Amino acid sequence: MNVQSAWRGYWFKDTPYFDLAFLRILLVGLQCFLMLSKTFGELSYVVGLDDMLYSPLLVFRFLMSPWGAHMRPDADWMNVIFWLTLACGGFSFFGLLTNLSMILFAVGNIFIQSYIYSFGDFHHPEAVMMIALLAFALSPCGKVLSIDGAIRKRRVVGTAPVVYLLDYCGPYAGWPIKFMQWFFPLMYLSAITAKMGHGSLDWANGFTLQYYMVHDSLRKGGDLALALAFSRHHDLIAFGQMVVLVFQATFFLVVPFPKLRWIYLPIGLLFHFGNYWILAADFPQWIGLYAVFIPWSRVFRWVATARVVSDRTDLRPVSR
Amino acid sequence: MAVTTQSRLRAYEIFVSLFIAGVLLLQAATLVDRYTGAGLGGRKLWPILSYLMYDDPHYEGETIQAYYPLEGTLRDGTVVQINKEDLGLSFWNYLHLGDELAKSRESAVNLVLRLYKKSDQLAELRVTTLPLMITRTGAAYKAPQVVRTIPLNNVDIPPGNPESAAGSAATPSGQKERP
Repeated sequence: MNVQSAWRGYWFKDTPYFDLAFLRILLVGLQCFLMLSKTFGELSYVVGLDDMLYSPLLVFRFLMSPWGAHMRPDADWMNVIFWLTLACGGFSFFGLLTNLSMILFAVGNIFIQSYIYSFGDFHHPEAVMMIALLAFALSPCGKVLSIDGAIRKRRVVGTAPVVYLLDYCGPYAGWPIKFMQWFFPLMYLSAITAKMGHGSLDWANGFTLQYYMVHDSLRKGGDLALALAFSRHHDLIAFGQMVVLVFQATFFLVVPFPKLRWIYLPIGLLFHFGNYWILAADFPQWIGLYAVFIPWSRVFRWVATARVVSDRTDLRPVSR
Repeated sequence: MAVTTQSRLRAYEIFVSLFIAGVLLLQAATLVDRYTGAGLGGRKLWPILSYLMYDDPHYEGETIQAYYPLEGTLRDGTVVQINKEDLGLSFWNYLHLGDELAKSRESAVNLVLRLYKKSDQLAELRVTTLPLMITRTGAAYKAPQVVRTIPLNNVDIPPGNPESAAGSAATPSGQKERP
């Protein structure tokens, strides 16, 4: 087997379209919610900022290049783009003109978020969602669980073979999922190399996280009661830091050994929810994107075919 | 027809393969960004970036540098706190402004002069530290320091000690205890 066929065999292996479509709905739904609950407020703030603060990101300059790379769009334009992007999100969610609407939704979000980050302030949670939306936009994510799929079904009824939804597979349904599964370990490895980049294990000395707990509490108005409470327990915090190091350094193992996800995902969820509850560091995109590690068609199949013991005596046992 | 479909699928596979390899390689390159100095990890290539989050180690007794409180001295000698609300900035923009002022960046000074309503009365701008340090049992009081003093014009500052003013202004009595 040469490299090319190994590559094709890995990335373009038959995968249920259901997995891809279910993730499309989940991710687009989450992003639409975040646009309304968070992005709109941030956008409303930055459109009023002074031009002196404006320093457009490379990707924003690229997207603006037809009109002048350094031109700053005015507030009205940004508002129009925001609502058009959200409308594309609605189309993507329901799967109408799915690929076109997904591409516009992804590019629109990159445009808006990079504009928000063109004023000096800069955070980490959104980037991975932008990349995920772009990857899904380039895939057949509207094949099922979509209006497009329903229309196609009506057109070809009687002329094409019929299969169960969960059994319907295709070679291009798996790559965006695998791609995001690889992207996650790279983010965690980036985080761990940053922590270890100082050439020692000093990061896990306990004081580091105690410091950040007080630090973030001050930054966020001084009302992070849990952070302040935890910051007084040095040994507990030092242990927690060691767990973080091991988790981030070994998360990549879930890709070659998928069964490990049942250990790593709960720890990861605890880690991200802990960050949210204690440090008010919310990473909803990361939590949502953990869904790429779940084989959804298998989960739904298991739910649909699971047998339970009934407490009624007048029911006949199911025979299959 | 079949040939056309085959070649379209082949082109799609090549395009997708380039996308996968390109993005993953760029993201992987940020792992060694600290050592290569290529600058791939910052905001330059967003949404490709390195995840430098809570990454600097901190030590016992270190000042908690959550942000740089700003204060100024007006021409009549009055010491004023310059908060984010005074400049119409979000916390994060105020934070970055403090970082820039600590480096005496001219653009940051100009921004304060542009946004602060009483800028025509400002004689001096000071960047101070918070009055807190980290200890084994949490945060404790530490005398604040003036990180940078930026004179804004040649107007004589009336009597008074700006350094001590910075200290007293940055340490309201309630902050001397652990937060």
